[in-house]
Amino acid sequence: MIETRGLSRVYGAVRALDSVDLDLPSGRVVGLLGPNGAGKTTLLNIVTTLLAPSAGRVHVDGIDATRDPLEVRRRIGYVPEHGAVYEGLTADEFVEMAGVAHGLDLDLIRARVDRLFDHFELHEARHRRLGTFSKGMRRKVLVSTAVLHDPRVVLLDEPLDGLDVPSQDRVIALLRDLAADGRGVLLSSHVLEQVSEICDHLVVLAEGRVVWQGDLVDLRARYEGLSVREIFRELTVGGESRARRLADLLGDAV
Amino acid sequence: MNVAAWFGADPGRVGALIGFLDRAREGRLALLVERETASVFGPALVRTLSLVGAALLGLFVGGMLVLATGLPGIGLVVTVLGLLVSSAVVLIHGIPLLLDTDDAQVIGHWPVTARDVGAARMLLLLRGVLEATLAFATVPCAVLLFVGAPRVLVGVVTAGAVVAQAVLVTALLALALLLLRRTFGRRRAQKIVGAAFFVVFFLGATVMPTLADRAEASGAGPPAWGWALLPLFWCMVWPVLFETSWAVGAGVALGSTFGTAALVLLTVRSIAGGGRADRVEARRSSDTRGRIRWLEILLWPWMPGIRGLVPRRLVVAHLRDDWRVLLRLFHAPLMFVVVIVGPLHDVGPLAIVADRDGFRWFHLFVIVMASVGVANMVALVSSSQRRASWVLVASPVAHGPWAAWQRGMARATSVPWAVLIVLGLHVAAGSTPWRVVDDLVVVLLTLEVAVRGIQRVQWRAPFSLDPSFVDGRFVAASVLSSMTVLPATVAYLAFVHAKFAWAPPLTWAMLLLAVVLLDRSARRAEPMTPTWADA
Repeated sequence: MIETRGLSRVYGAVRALDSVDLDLPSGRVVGLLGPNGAGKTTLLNIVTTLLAPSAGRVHVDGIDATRDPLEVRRRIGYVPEHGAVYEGLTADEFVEMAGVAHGLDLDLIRARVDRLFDHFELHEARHRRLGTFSKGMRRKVLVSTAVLHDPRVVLLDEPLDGLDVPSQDRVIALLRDLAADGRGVLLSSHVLEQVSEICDHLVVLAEGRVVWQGDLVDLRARYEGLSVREIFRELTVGGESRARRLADLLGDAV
Repeated sequence: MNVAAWFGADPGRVGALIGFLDRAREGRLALLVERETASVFGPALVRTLSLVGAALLGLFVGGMLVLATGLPGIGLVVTVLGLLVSSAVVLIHGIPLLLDTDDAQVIGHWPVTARDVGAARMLLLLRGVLEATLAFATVPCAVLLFVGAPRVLVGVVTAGAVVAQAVLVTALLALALLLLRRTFGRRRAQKIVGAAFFVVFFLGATVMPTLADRAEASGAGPPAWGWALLPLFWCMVWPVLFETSWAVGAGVALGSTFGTAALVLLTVRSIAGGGRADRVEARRSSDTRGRIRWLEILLWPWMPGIRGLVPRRLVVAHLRDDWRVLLRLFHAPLMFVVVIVGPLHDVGPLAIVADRDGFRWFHLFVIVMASVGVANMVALVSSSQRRASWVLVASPVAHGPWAAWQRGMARATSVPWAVLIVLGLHVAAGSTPWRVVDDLVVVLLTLEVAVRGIQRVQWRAPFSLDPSFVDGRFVAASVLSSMTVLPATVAYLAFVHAKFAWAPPLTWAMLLLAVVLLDRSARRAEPMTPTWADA
C-alpha cells in the first residue's frame, strides 16, 4: 500500500522526519501513533503529495509520489485534521466537486453521495452550506469525500475528532469494511484507546523516527502486562529520549 | 475554455473548478448575509449594484466627453479611469479569490494541479474585472466613436486599450497579490491589499485631473516618453498616439498587445508554479515589542498612568491590527502637501484651477475627494471597533479615552480633506478669505457631527453582529451616503452660502446643537453589556 525508503523532511534546523522506512500493508487498518511533533502530519502530507520530501522515496499503490503526484492523488482519499472546506458550498456541492475532480460521472456521484449521506445521516443537511456545519458534521462530509471515488488507499488524520459515539461507530465500520475489501487504511491519531480499538497494525513515530512497526498483537506480546498507554510511553519517552529529557530538565544533577 | 490551455492547465478541470469556486465565493457572501437577517444585500444584489455604479460613472464620463467635444487627448481620460476601475475591482475581488483561500488545505490532495486552480481563479477574477470595466467603458467609448478626432477610430482604439489594459492590470496585480501572500502570509497580505485600495483611489484622484489637463494642454501625445516604457501605459496612451501619429500608434498598440499577452501568460504560469501546500502561515511574526513601546510613549500624554494602560494597549493593538488606519494617517497629510505644494511647481490638481477649462476636472476631483474623505472617516471610526468593544466590556475601564482617541484620529485625518474641499471650491470660484474661513467651519462641524454620530451607532451595535460584516456595512453605508450627502454639501457651500446672508449663522447654530446633543447622549449612554445570546 505505502512504501517509504529513507524518507526525510527538514524544516530549517528541525528534522521532522529522519530516514523513515515503512512498508504498510493493504487490507489492514494501520494506526499511526506518536506524541505531538513526532512527524505524523508531515508524513501524511508527503504521502498525500502536499509536501515534497527533503530526501528519500515514497510509493503509494506502486506509484512514485514525487514523480507522479497526480496519479497518487487519484488513488488516495484523505481526511485532513484541520477539516478545511469551502464554507460557501453546500455539502452536496462540495462532495460533487470532489467527484468531478476525480473524473467521476455525475450520475455515479449522485448515487454514491446518496448512499454515503444515508450512512452518515446527513440527508437533511445536505443542502445547507458547510459554513453552518458543526465540526462533527464537517468531519462526516470529509470522510464521504475521501471515499467517494473508491480510492485504493484512505488516509485519515484524527478522523474521529468532534464526532459523537454513533457517528464514530459509523466511521469505524466504514474503515473496517474498506480494509476487509483489500484497501489500505492509514489512521493517524494520538488517542491511544481509539487506535488500539480500531487498528490491527501500528506505526509509532518519535522525534521523526519509526520506533515501532508491526501488528498490535505482537506489540502487546512484547510488552506483556503493560497497558497501551504504558507501552506508548515506553516507546516514545524511553531509552535515550528519556535520559535527554531529564538532562534538559535537571542539567548536571542527572 | 481554451484560454486555460494557454496557461498549461487542463481546460475540462478548469471549467468545472470555475463553476464550483464561483459558487463557493457567492455562498460565502450569502453566509454573511444569512447571519445578519436585517440585511437585504445579497451577493447578486451587490454584484448588480457594482455594475450599475460602474455604468453610472461611465455615463457621467460620457456626458463630460460630449461637453469636451473636439479636445485632443480625451481618450486618455477614459483609459485612465478604466485603469482605476479595473484596479479597484482586482483589489476588491482579489482578496476573496486569491488571498483568502485554502486551496492547498481543501483540495491540495485532489487530482487537480495548482495550475488548474490558479487558472480557474485567474479567469474568475478576469471575468469580474472585464464585466465592471466594460460596464464603465461602453458609454464613453460609444461617445468617442462620434466625438473623437478622427471619429470612430478613437472610440475603437480606446475600447481596445481599455480591454487590453484590464487584462494586463488583472495579471500584474494578481501576481503582486500572490507574491504578497507568499512573502507575508495570508492575513498580512490582506491588510496590505486593503491599504493598497486607498492608494489606488489616492493616486487616481490626484493623477487623473493632472493627466487630463496635460493631455488637453499639449494636444500632442503624452507629456513625457519615460513612463510610456511601462507596458501598462502603452495601453493607456494608444488613444492619444493614434490621434497624433498613426504609424507610432499602431506600433505601440501592437507591441503592447503582444507584450500584454506575454506578460499575462508568464504571470499565470508563475502563479501556478508551485504545487505544494503554502507554508508561509507557519512563520513566526516579526518582533513588535519595540514598536509597541514607542507608540505607548507617544500615547502617554493623552492616556496617562495606570488608568490609561488598557486604552493605550487597545490603541496599539488597533494600529498593529489595521494597516489601513496607519496608511490613512500618512496619506492624509501627504495628500495635503501634494495639493498645496504642487502648484508651486506647476503640478498637482490645484495648478489646474488657474485654467478655466480645468475647473470642471477640478470640480469632479473635489467631489471624489469629499467622498473618499467620508469613507475614510467612517472606516477609521468603525475599524477594529468590535474587538475593542469586547476588551472594554470585559475590563473595568471606561471607554471614554478610547472613544476620544478615535474621534481625534478621525478629526486629524479629515482636516486635510475638509481644507481641500473648501479651498478647491473658493479658489476656483475666486472667493474672499472670509468665505473660505466661514465654509471651513461649516465643513469641520459637519465632520464632527458625522464622527460622533457614526461612533454613537457603532458603540451601540449588538455584539452578536459579525465584526467584518459590521465593518463592511458601515463602509457601504458611507459610500452610499457620500454619493448623496457630500455633493449636496458641496452644492450648498457653493450656492446657498453665496446667496443668503442668514445661511451661515443658522448652519453654524444647527451643527453646534447637533454636536452638543450627541455629546450629551454619549455621556448618558449605559455601559455596553453583551447578552448571553451575543456571547
